[in-house]
Amino acid sequence: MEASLHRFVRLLRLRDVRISVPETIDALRCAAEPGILADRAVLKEALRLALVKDHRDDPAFDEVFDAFFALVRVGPSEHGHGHGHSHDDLSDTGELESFTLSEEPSETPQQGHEHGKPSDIRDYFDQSDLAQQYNLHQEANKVDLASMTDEIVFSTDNAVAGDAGYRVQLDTDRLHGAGVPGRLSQETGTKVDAELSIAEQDALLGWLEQAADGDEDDAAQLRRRLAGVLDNLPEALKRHLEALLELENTVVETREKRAAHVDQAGESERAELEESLRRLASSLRGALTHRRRIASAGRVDPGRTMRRNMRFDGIPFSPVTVRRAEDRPRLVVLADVSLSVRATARFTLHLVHGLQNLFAQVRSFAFVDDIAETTELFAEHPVERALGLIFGGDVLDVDANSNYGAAFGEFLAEHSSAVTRRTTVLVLGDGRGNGNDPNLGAFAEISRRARETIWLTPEPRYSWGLGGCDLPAYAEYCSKVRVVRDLSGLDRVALDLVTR
Amino acid sequence: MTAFDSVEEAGKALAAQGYLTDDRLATMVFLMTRLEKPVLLEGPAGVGKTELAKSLAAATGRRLLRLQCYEGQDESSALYEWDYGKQLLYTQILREKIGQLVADAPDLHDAVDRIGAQESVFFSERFLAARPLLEAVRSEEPVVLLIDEIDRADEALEAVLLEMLGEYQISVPEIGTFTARNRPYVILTSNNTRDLAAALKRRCLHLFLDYPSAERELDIVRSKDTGLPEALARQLVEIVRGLRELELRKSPSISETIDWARTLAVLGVDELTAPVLSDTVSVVVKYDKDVRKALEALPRLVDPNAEVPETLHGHGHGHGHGHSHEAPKVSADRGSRSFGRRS
Repeated sequence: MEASLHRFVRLLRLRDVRISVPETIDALRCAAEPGILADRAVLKEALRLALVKDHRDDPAFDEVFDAFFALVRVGPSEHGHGHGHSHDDLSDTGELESFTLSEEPSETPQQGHEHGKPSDIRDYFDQSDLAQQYNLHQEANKVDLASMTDEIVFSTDNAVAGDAGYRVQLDTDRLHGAGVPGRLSQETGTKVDAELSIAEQDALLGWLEQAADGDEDDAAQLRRRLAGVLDNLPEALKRHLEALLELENTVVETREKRAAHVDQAGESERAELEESLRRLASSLRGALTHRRRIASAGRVDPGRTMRRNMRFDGIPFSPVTVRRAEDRPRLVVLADVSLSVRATARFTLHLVHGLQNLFAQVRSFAFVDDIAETTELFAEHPVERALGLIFGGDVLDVDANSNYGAAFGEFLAEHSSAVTRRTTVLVLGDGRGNGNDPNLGAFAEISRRARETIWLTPEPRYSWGLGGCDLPAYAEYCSKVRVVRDLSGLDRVALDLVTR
Repeated sequence: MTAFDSVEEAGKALAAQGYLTDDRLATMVFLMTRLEKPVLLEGPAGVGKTELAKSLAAATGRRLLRLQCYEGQDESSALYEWDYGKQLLYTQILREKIGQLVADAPDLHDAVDRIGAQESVFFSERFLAARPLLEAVRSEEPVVLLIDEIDRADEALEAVLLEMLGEYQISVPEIGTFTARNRPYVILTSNNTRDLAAALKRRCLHLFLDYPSAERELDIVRSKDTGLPEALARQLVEIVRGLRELELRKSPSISETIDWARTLAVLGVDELTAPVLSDTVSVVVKYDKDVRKALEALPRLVDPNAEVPETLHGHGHGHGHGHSHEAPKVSADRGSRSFGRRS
C-alpha cells in the first residue's frame, strides 16, 4: 500500500498538484485507519482530505484516482511509469501518424464533427465548413483532412475535371493593428490569402493523378505510395503560413515600436499626474493593521502605561494611549491595453506607472485576452521604455480582441493571491469584451476578495450601451465607476473621491 | 469520549445530533478524531461548516471553544493577554506585604534574594488572561476548538496558529510552553475570500464543503421538523437548487432553505405556487437585484414543464457550439486565432 500511495502521489505531482512530504505521510496514516481501505469511495475521500488542499485540484485528483485505483486491480505492477496508461481512449494528439485508405470507395463522404480540441492545423479544414461553406462547387470532400479517423476516401459521387477541384486555399483574417471592436463585425481586419504556389499545386496534383492511375481496387498499393507525401502536407502548409504570419508580424511590430517611442510626456504634465495620483491615493483606504502606534487619543495600553510609570511605583500617572494604525493601501491595477482603448491606454499605463512609483505595494497587470503582470516591467524600466515593450507586443499579444472574461478568469486562477482584504483593485478599461463571455463570476469573486474595486473607464456613460459594453454588468460589483479620459479627468475624479 | 471506531459510527453520531453527513463528511470526522489532526473546511457561506463543529462537540461530549476571526485581529485576542490591570492592582495591594518580607533583611543583596525566592509573582498563570487558543490547550477536559472564518484574519494570525495546529502547544515567553493535555479537535472554517498560507493548509486535513446533494438537503430539511409536508419539502429543495443555479450574488444556504420551509409551514401553505413563493422569497434571497432575478425565475422553477433549455444556455458553456448559420465566420476566427499563438 505504501508503495502504491507513493506512486499515486507522484502521479498527482505530475498533474501539478502540490503535495508535500507531511501530506503524504498524512495520507498513509489516513489509509491505515481501520475501515478506510475496505471501501474505495471512503478511501478516495480520505486521500482527498489529506492530499488535496485546493479546490482547483479536485478534478485532477478524481481523474488520477479513478485511473490509478482502477488499474491496481488489473495488474499492480504495470502502471508505475507515470504516463502510459489510460491513454488509449482515442485522444487526438493532432499528429498524423498514419492513414488508411478505404478499400471501398464510398458513395457519400462521412460527416466530420466538432472535436473540442482546437489548436491544430486541421481546424482549418473543419469538414462541415469546407463542405457547406467554402467549397463553392459543392462537390464535397475530395480529400478530407479534418476527418477524425485520418482516413482518405475517394468518392465516386461526382467527378471533377480541371485544376479547380484540387485547390487548397487558406484564409486568415488577423492583421496586426487593425480591426474595430464590437459586435457589429465579427471579421476583423484584412484577409491574408495564403494560396499554394503553382509549383506546390502541381506537386499536389501530381501525386493525386499518380494515385488515380491505379486500379480503384488496388487500394493497398496506393496506400503505400501515398504514405510519405500526405504526411508532410499539413506540416508544409503550416510552416508556410507560419512563416508568412511571422514576417508580417515583425514588419508591423517594428513600426509599432517606433511609434511607441514618440510619445513623451512633458515634465509639468507628469508633475500634475503625480499630484492627481496622490490625491487619488489618499482616498484609497487600507485595513487596520494589528500594529498599535502611540497616539494622543485612543485606548489606554496597559503594558506601555505600566512600563512608563515604573518610576512612579506603578501608579499610572501618565497613561499611554495607542491607536490602531491604518495600513497603507495595497493596490492591484488591471489595465486593458487593447485597441479599443488604445487612444487612452497610453495614458492609462502612465497612470499605472505613476501609481507604482508612488506606492510601495502595487502590482500591475496588463491584459487583452491574456493577462500579464507588468509590475517588474514598470519597476525596471522608465515609463517610455516600458510602454514601448508593452505596445510592441513583447509582454502580451496586444492585437488580439480584448476579452475581459478570459482575462479576469485567468487573473483569478493565476494571481488571486495578489488580492486580499486590504487590496484596492483598480480596473482601467472600457469593458468592451467583444461579445465574449464577460465572466461576471470571476469579476465578482475578485471584487469580493478585494477591499474595494474601482473602475476607471475612458468612455462617457451614454456610450456604454453602444456596441456591446459589459461595463454596466461589471459596475454591479464595483464600489466606484468613474469616467477618466485624460489628466484633467483624473484630477476631477481624484478631487471627487477625496471630498466625498 | 474517544475517537470513533468506524466511518459509519461517526456519521451516525453526528446524525444523532441532527447533523446529516455524506460519505465525505463522515470520513473526514472519522479521520479527524482518529488522527487528531486539525481540519480545514472551505466552502460557500451557509453550508454548515460552523454547524459541524457544534454538532461534533455535542456528539463527542466535548466543550466547544470558538475563535471568531476578523479583519485586523491581533494575536492577543486569539492566544492570551497579560491582565495588566490586575497586575497593577496586586502591585499596589502587595506592596506592604513585600515591605514586611524584606523588612529585616540585613542588606540589599539579601532582600533581592528573598524576593527571588518567592515565585515569579507577576508573570504567572494567575495573571494570564487566556483566549480561546490558550484555553483549548490548557483545558482539563477535552474540547472542540472552532476557528471560524480564518480567511477574514490577517496573515499574521495564521502564522500564530501554526504552532498550535502543528504541535498543539502555545509558547508564552514569560512562562514557557503549554502543551495540550488532551488534544483538541480543531476545525477551521474559511469562506475562501483569500488563499490561505500553504503552511497552514499543510497542517490540516482539507475539505471543500459545497452545497449538499438534493437528497441530503431534503434529509436535512426533514430532520429539522419544519412542519412542511414531505412533498412540498421535496419541491422546495428543488426550487432552492434552481435558485442556486441563477448565479445570484448570494446563493441561498441550507439554513435559509430551512428558514423558508419553516416560513411556508407557518403560513400553512399546502401548495407551492409562484405567488406564495414570490411573497416569501426574501427569506432566502437577500439582495435587491437577486430578488428581481429570483422573481423572474420562480414561475419556471415551480412548473417544471416551463423548464425550457432557454436559460440552461449561457451559463458559461456558450462557446464552441458553432451554430450553423454563422459557421463560416466563427470557424475562420477560431482558426486564425490558434494560428496567431503559434507564430
